Amino acid sequence: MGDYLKKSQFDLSGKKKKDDKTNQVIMPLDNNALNTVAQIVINAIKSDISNIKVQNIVANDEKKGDNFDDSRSLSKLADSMIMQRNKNESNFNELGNVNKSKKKDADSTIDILSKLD
Amino acid sequence: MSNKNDLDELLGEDKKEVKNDKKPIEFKPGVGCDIGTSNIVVSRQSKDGTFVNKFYRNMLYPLDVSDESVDLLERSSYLYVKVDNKYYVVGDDALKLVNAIGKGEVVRPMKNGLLNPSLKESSELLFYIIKAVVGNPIVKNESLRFSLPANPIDQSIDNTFHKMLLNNFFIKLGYDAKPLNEAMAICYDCNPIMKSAEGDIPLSGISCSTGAGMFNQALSFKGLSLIEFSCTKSGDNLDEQVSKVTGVPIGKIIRIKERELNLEKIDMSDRVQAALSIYYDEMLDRMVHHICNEFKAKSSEMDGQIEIVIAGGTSMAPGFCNRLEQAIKRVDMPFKIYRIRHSENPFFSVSQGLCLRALADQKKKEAK
Repeated sequence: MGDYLKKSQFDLSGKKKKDDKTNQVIMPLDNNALNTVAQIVINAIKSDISNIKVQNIVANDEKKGDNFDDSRSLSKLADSMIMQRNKNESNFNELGNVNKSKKKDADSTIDILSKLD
Repeated sequence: MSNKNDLDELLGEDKKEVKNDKKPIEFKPGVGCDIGTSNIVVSRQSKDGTFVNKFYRNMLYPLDVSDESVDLLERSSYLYVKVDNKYYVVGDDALKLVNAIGKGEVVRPMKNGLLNPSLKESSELLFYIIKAVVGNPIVKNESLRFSLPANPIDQSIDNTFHKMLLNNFFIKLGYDAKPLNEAMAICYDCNPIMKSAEGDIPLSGISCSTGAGMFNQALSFKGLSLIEFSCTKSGDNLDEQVSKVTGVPIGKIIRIKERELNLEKIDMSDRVQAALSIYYDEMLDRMVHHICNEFKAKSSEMDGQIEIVIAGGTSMAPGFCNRLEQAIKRVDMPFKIYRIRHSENPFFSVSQGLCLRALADQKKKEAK
């Protein structure tokens, strides 16, 4: 067990242990502080007994690292949304007003960009 | 169709209508499409090198189907789409109508740079508008680049599905479509220069896109993106906050912001102007704060002095760049910055940059 655990004055509720006389301060801890403390404890355990396999404690799916490739279903879903389901009607075919502008260095920029991957 | 709108006035002297041109313009293949929360802008380059930018406000005003609404639409020249049992008045007409009626609010097919999840028909309406602005490809498999925001650092939003949806939509229209980060598009249009011991290095620096839904920032070196990120709470958030504290409807706030606001001449006795000024400063401080934090956290280093280029609709208020400069002076930036430069065409910069990249894609394709 790491030094941190031996020196720790607090249990997870944030209350001072009754039998400890070295520290008289009682500090209430919020959830973030508790999580930080818990992480330090886990790290201390992992470093002290590094030859023993320790299972990671995770809070949600994201941390579990779901690396399943969902791009196929996303693409199918995108295609289904592009399909027109409702009968639409409008009083226009083309939209947009027009602005014109000139650029001095357009050709040199296109040259640089055409060499990029 | 109405040729005049609020945006036209905002664009000032640069705006030239070409609707009555008899001779059709011949374009080089390669199109840039900026799908913004507030506006859709499509850019093409004509054979004589001129950029022709088509723009339309990405905004709707819903009306239930009733005798009154049918009568209103028949008697007016408002442009609309009918989906299911609702009419959606589109573009600037939506803003005109909401200001005339004085009740309800305009809705947007997009929110925070992505499809608006709270609007059921958002994708259908967005595609309808995009198709009418972008038109058909001029050659088979014409290269097209569309804008994509980076995932925001201040909200749990993933752009993967949005990217896939737009990509598949443009492919269905017949384009060879690819996404491009919108801040990088500004980099290609504005060409920030880094000053180093080796001399001036093009396409290297910080590019900022200030849209309605998001701020996007990118750090680039020789045209390659090193870091990209975005944050929400941009132009739309500013409108909402000002509307909340003043009680003035958002439609009116947008009109004041776009037509009257000058950040160098704020009338603090006017509560809307005062609130706009305060929230502009907050927005810029937040943007600069995130730039500092992100670039410091990623230990980004540039061996030289860099330039910041900025564009986007939210940057168009007179005095915006001076306010940004002041915000930057208030923090300790991780780079030496020698200049902040506003795009020559802030409203069209993203789409022009996208078009440049699409032209390069097309050139590469034709060289093979």
